[in-house]
Amino acid sequence: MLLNSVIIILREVLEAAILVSVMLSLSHYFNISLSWLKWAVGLGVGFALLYADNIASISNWFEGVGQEVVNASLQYLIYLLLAGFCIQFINKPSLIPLSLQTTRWVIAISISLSMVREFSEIFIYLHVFPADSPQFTGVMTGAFLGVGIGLSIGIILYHFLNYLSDKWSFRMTIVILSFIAAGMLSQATQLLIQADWLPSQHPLWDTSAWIFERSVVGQLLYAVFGYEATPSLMQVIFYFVGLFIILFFIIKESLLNRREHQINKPNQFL
Amino acid sequence: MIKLKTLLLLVIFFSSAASAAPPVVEIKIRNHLFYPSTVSVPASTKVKLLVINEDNTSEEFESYELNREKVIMGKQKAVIFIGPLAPGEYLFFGEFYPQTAQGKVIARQD
Repeated sequence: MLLNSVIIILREVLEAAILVSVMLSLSHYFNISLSWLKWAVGLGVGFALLYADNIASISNWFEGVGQEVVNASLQYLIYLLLAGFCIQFINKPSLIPLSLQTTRWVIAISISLSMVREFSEIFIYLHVFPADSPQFTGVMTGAFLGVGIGLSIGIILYHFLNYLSDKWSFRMTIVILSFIAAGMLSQATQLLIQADWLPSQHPLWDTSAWIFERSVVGQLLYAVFGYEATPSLMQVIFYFVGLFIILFFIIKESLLNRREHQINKPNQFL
Repeated sequence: MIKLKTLLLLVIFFSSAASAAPPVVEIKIRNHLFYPSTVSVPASTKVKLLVINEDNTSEEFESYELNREKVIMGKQKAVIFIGPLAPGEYLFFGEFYPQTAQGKVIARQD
């Protein structure tokens, strides 16, 4: 029970931790204050509790697929926020038209939306084992371990991204963020296929012999790159179209910036 | 005008074909076990799983092979569409009680 609890909690915390780490690293690089963090966690936890409390009735919406529709909507929205963010932030701070306030809200909202889905599942799981149940100790110990491991991985990623930004380019972090965004699209698409709102097909390939989704590597790749061992055609299409849209605009913005590099604007983020 | 009538007939024909409902398979959760634990479905067909949680506590129906994941609260039913599946066996489990809640879907070519 303990090991199971570790895995369940770790999976959910990992997804949130990775996105938070990426945003923390970019905030560090662009000198954006971290006031968004308290909003992200506060709103995320608050709405996750609200969602978990009402999951029974939400599940009955749309003829029994309310959960899938709501989760997919959250993820499509996160994709749009992250895509917009990537495209804005591919250039140096002095050239970004977005205000500091708006930027912090975009970060806070995208993170809190992802936390709603992830943390609500944690709350639902923990609710199954109240204090008087025999598995309570094992489950709670596992939960603390899972949170600890997830946070540790997040911290390692944060320092790694800072290192990349210093030694190479912050644009690597933006590219990683675009993969995370594409992964959201793929997950959302899978949910709508599960709900029969999108057509279902045979899986396009099966790489579970190489990297099994249930393995540690598989879970990490899933959290960062949206790795699926048996994706359907629709998922693959959404993933790569979503990724290419961001990369196209990133490259376009980068090239435009290079042509206009003589323009000097005051750095609004300092 | 003739083109419009043809189009209308085609729409009616295809929508009636599309509305042919997928087969429904029921799986119950009782005392953190799946009943039945082995389920047969036709291969290459979309299938609607109706998972009925008869326990008081919630469970999460999950399958890596089927790419499906859904939380089902206590005393609730859940609709999960699977397929089309190539012939073979696809494992599923209850994530909250994985030691006992295990099952498989067998897709058979008819």
